[in-house]
Amino acid sequence: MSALWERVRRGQPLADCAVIDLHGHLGRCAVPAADPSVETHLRTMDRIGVDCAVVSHTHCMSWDSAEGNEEVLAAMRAFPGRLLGYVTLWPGDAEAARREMELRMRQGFIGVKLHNANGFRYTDPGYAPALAIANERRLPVLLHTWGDAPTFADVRALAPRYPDAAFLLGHAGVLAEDTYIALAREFPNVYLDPTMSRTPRGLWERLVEAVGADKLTWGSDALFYSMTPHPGKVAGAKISEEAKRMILGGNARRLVDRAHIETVAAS
Amino acid sequence: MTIALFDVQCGFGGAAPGSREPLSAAALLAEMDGAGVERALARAVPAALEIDISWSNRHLFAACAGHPRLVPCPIVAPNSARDLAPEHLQLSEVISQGAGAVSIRPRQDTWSLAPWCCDRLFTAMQTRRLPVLCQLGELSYDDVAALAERYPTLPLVIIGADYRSQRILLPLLEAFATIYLSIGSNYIVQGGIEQCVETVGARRLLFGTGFPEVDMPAHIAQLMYADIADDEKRLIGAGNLDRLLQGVQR
Repeated sequence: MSALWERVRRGQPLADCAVIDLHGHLGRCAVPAADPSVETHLRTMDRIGVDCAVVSHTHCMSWDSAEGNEEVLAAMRAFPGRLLGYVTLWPGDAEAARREMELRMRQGFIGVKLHNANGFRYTDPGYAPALAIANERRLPVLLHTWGDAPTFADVRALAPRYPDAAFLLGHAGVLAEDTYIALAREFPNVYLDPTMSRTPRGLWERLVEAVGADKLTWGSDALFYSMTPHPGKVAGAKISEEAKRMILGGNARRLVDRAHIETVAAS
Repeated sequence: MTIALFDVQCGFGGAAPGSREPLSAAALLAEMDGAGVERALARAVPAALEIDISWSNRHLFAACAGHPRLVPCPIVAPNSARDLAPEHLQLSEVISQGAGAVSIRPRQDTWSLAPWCCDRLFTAMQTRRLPVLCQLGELSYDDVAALAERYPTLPLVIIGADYRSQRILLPLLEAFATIYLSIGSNYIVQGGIEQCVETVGARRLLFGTGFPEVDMPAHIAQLMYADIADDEKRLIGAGNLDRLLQGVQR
């Protein structure tokens, strides 16, 4: 039995393995969470052995992204190093989005999370200044995707336009698995993030085989749902121990280390 | 700490449309071995091509016969069209074949949950105290509540609850002590296990996975990392399902 899976099966923290959640959230949303507090989230991370989580606010799906970013900032300052922040943006006014992006960069956010539930394409001009900054700073850009053709077209447009940004395709493989694989193979700066609630059987094995473990990242989507099932998906997958370590944290560490990020001042 | 796991929400034997061959009992057992799951209450899944109840059950019993770790969970339906065995005989047959519980598919098999259609079936199952797996999609939460009200000593197991359902599930579990919840796919509510245990106790939750639609490890991790006591994990892991199966009048 794999050493990492053995730890999960016993309910032990994933010690001596970097574990970084690259797809996290804070805040309330339509999905009820018994206790959405940051403190409870950190206790869950401790039980699993998650070193840090990169989080955006659930308001990434709504119009008041600035208030959400402010809550994320408070959490980053309260728990420096454990919670890192993605900036979320409302693209209604490109200049306002640029100012919001610049402000959050100074405050130490490490990437961008965009969600198209707001009805805007990722190629919308309102996002362009922020994506240019993400490119200059070599930041991870996490995109909510759901296997649809317009979003794939956006990825094909953005990946070569911003070659130094790292585009993480959230929920990769939920549908149209072959297209996700093709995108990760075609673009060196496209990574697959197969975070989802109901992961099809064998998805992790197929993705490792198709694109290599170095193009896959791990996330939980907590607090939309619980973080606790997600380490099992990788630790229990029929892939090498080395691949598990890369996916659970090694790749995320590499993506964060290459980015130009300001230091977060603790509160 | 390791705990014994008895999966209430899994199966084999069915074929998804377009798949080359049905999943074998050996494939289920291999998944159980790899994940560390001792026993499984096995249904014929995927169910889409399981079009003949008697045929499907016969295959299930035959495939489970050589594997004591697999407890069959066959399909039953009311004999309202006089095309199946009478309800009490259906139950005698499946229990004699080792069934630990039964599943119902009112949508797929086209019958009504109203008492004028299925009262004989549910009365017989209640008499036998035979747990009934209620797959959401085949039944609604309101359907399960209505059954719990009409048959107050019949164990009903909800499977297929999702991460959006806690506003319904929690009061449903509070209202009816005979309703049990599988924590298999797609029940991954943030803090959900902890909240259910605090509200109605650990005896009402059952470990499940959702295999073969999903792999087993995710839902094992969910239980093992839950913020509840080890004794509560043991109850959920296998103890509660063992207790329900021991209650069946054989």
